[in-house]
Amino acid sequence: MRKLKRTYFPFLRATIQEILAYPGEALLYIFGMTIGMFVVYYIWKVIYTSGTANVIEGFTFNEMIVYIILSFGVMQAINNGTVWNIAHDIREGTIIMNMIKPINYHLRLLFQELGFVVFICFIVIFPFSLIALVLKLTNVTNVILFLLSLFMGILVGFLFDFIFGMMAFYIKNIFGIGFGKTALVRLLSGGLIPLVFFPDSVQKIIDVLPFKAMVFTPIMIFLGKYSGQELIYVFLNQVLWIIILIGINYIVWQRAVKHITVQGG
Amino acid sequence: MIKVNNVSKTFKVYKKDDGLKGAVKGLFKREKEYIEAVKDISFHVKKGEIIGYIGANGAGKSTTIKMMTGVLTPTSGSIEVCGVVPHKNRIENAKRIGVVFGQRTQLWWDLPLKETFTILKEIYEVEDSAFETRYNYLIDLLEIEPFIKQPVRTLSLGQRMRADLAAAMLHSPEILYLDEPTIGLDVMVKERIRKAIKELNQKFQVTVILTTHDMSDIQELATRIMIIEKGEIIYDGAKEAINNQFGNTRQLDLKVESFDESRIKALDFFVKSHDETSNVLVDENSLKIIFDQDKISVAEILSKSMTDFKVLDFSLQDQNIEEIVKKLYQGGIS
Repeated sequence: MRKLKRTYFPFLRATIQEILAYPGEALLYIFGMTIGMFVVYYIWKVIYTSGTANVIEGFTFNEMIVYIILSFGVMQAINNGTVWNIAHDIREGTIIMNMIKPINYHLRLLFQELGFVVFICFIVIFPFSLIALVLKLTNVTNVILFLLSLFMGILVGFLFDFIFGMMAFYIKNIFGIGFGKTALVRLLSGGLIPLVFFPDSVQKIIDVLPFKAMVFTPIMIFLGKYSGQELIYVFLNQVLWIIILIGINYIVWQRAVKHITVQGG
Repeated sequence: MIKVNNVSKTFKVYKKDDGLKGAVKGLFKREKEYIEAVKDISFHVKKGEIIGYIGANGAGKSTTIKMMTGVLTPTSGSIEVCGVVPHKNRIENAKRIGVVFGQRTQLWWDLPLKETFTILKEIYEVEDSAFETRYNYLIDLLEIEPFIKQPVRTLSLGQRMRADLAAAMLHSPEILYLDEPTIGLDVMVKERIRKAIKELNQKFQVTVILTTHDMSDIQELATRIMIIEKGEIIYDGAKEAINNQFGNTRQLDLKVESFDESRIKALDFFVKSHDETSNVLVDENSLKIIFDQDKISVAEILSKSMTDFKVLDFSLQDQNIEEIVKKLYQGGIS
């Protein structure tokens, strides 16, 4: 554990330092995200004020606002370029620079990604959680459970992206398909709208896919929508997906390493 | 220290036919093609040696280095570096080696250089006190101090390469692999890098495997030369011995006032009568005569040319490694 921290923590720190190396860009990023949030906010405002119902699919307007802001944050944290990093390392052969060092590629990228997650936490998730607590939109237990679930959701997202990124070995134009993937993940993870808005039949399909565990599950926990057994079930679901995706990653990586070591950088 | 025994490496590539038709065909049936990048090479390296590993582009240099660093797995044969099989224990092996690829950097692009060094310290688990000594030594040796606080992206190529070398040496590796470390550098920086490599070798007995296309790197640094051509090692021995193996060839350049085809032919015939491998080349307004000085003396050629041509100027060049290598690349000696 100590070795893990010593060897890989510098990568987390390095990402944060890299973000801070371009403060203007970080500000622009925050600005862009805020605009995005406002657009969605107004859409929902219109929907809630035009209808007669105060509660739509079990969501009050306030809950919907919480959902929007958090889903933006979580979506950014998950969708942060791991795919491009891997694809780039493979295409340009920079993966070799990693293989000559005594480090594990998965862990290196994970910690690099966690650096970005920390950044997102500080600019969106922590301040907003605080605001939500003050406004009594959630409680401390829910926030703690949310953070735990968020971490697992990010792991699921990372492992999924890693598998996807390794497709760069076989597909030249990973950019096009990568954008498709982003859109699909956004839709199916609940990053766009809460999954309860989908028809039952679609929800049944989503239930057996890993995407739900990335965004929808943590935010629903934040909103206190799960309790008792249900809570245990969604956590187990996340754990299960982490295990399955680690398994797939292992298999794909073995093949990929062979590819690197057979074909050359 | 390094044992390479009967190592071969075959790459499998898929052959594609040209054009759309070929691309479509490739979807259904792909023809495999095998390329032997390295063929049955063997060599041993002792501690403290500086090996100049040379060969034309695509001769198999990088493939050999990548196998020794554990990035590539040999198709057959065995490699052992300090008792470790690199491709099986990549991480174990990585702790003991330093690598500089001239074309790539191992520094973090957006971070100040100093930060990169700190990160490397953590990755390689270097103790604080050992790091301190080493760090100060390398900073001094490679004159890095002036730009240590700058982000890597703002460094010039020469600064970056010096920093890369320092980064590769921070954890006191026993072996240093340098793949074209002086590529694209100016004379001053080249000199400094060479000086540093030499000092690291003498002071710490670091074993160096150096590939380069700059023969002056080899001339100044290497204690032993290995030449690889089309995947086979065609020369492996001391730098000084290379001349003996490939003949004592020299080159005489003559600047003459006017040309006369028949006289050039006569000169060519004269030189060839002593040394059939010799060559007379015409280049603008000068003549190049390449010959083996064991077979015909400089004086003989000079006196012959003096009588036939009006010689304005002449220069005599020693056969250097560059010439030998050039000839090897052209397939002149095999």
